[in-house]
Amino acid sequence: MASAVKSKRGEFGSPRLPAKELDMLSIASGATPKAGLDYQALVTRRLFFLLIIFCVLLVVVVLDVLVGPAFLPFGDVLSVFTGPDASVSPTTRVIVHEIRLPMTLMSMIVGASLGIAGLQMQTILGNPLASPYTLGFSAAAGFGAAACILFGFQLPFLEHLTIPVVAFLSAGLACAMVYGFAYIKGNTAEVMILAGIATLFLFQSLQSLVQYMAAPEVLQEIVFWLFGSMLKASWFSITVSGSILAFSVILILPDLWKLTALRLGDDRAQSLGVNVRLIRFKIFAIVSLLTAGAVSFVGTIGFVGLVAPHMARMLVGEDQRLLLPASAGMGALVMVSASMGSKLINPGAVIPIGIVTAVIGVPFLFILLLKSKRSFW
Amino acid sequence: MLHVDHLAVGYNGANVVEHINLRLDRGEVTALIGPNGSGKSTLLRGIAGILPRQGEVCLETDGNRVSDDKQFAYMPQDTYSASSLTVLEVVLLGRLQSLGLRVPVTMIEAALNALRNFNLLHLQSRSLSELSGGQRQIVYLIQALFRETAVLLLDEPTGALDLYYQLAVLEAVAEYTRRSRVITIMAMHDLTLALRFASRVICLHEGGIVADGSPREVLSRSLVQSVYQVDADIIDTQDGFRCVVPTRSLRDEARQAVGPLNAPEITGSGL
Repeated sequence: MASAVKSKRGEFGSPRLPAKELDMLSIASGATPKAGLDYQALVTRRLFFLLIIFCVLLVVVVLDVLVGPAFLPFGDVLSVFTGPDASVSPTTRVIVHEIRLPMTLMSMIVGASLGIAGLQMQTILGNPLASPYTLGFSAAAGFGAAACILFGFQLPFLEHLTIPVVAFLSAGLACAMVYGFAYIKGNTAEVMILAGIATLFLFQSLQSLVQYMAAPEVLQEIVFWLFGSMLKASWFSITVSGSILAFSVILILPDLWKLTALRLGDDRAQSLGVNVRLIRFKIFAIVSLLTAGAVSFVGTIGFVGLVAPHMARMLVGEDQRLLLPASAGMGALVMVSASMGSKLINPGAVIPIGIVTAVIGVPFLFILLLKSKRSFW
Repeated sequence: MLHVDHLAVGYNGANVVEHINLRLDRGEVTALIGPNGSGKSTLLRGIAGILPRQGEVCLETDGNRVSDDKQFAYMPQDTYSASSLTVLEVVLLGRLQSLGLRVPVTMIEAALNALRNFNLLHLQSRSLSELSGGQRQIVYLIQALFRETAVLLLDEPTGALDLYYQLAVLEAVAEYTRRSRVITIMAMHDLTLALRFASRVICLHEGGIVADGSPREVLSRSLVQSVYQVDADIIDTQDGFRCVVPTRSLRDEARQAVGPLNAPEITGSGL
């Protein structure tokens, strides 16, 4: 009995110091303790994982550009970037420049945007199931696009941008609904989640209604948009979505430690000097912008925003200085891998990427879950 | 000195504590006692600026009164956390306002030193969710001390600790308060520990202050009886400490008041 008690006490801190040696004044003294390598080693390991994510991403990006339904020889594709102009046929050049490269870059941007949006949604709501998809933003964008297609609505002077603009505005409307409701009820995470789930069901129902009303040929167009496809990518969409991504990251950067502190709960974060209401509002607005920017051009894409942050968290922990780039990198990695998969599963055709993301991403997540020894949420 | 004038704090427009007026000196440990629901946590959260408050809370330094919530380090009583932040990161967050993209080596060393002082250096890279409730409570306390604020507001700082660490933590807090000239207010349920470590005791009951003074003045048989409805003896030990010892079980008191209890007997098999 005595030994059992002794071993249990040893778990807390061994060996125990006599209370008289607990001199808190030395906290401020800056005296250098010898045993400090443990945490530094952990940080080094996490930086290594971050580097690995981006190295793998780079490889996958190159492979994604190399493969496609046109079955272009790899050498010809590489020549577009490295060789003299005359050595590459104009068709190859057009395919690579106007189709493959935009698809790959858009996959990266959308994946990174959704990775960051999902991460910050989970952070401000303190909920591992939160993502732009589960809170209805993507469903709202889908409804806007579907309604546009059904009613043939076109914006004056911006006909070719009608669907992205309306999808963007619909996602913004959903965010405003969720936040407006949460604001009235005290801006707590629980209310935001409930309002988000209600919004998801509302816009999914409206989507179904639009689909029910649509003629078969229009329905096909709607369904194709809702699946999400990188075939809609263009240099214009890359510029817009990329700018939104860069702008959002710049806005988030000053608050990385505050977002890290939010993981300790509202009370503790507020006690540490975080204006919880303000940062929740700010990040919510940024997430709305990021999500709308990502899905309005390429269609509804779920899963990435939910799991990319979890995968990143397992590798680099919860310090947002590492977690933010890791989530972006992991989101991009899953999306570009899915883009490659969408071209390889059925050679000669491109399957909508929204269908492939979960097929590619779930094995990633399961492998990490099995390998991870630490809890990650 | 901490000035609290006409403070009222509550939830959804209804005050839980009100008419609070206090003057607290630097270097003084104040124990805030009172039954569950008396408003101890609400008062601490109001002083810390976490809950909206009416009235004034300000610090007086060299004759100047300043209201600055950044000078209050509040430690909630809830120790649960699902976060996988490491122990060292949690301590570093104590100086959130000074943290940038690069954390100075000196700050990391100071945080490690703080952990070593509480014998938790070996847990520096363990995630918070992997710790026991008691370990998390000490980590949060270290974070509060690491902030180096003028006022420490500790809500049940020893609620999850074993006997050894109850004493170790309170001795460290008392010593830190005295030597660093900070103002410490601790919400406490353990009256014996309050007697031993506080230089002043404030008793809250139904949202108001019912007693305020030195521990020996405030903690009397009559106060314990009237506020907690418990008969207790206040005993002086041979070592010069005072203890609060309940003299009768609640069952005895209830029998005396209303006759035999109808509640079923709890037997060994019933457990």
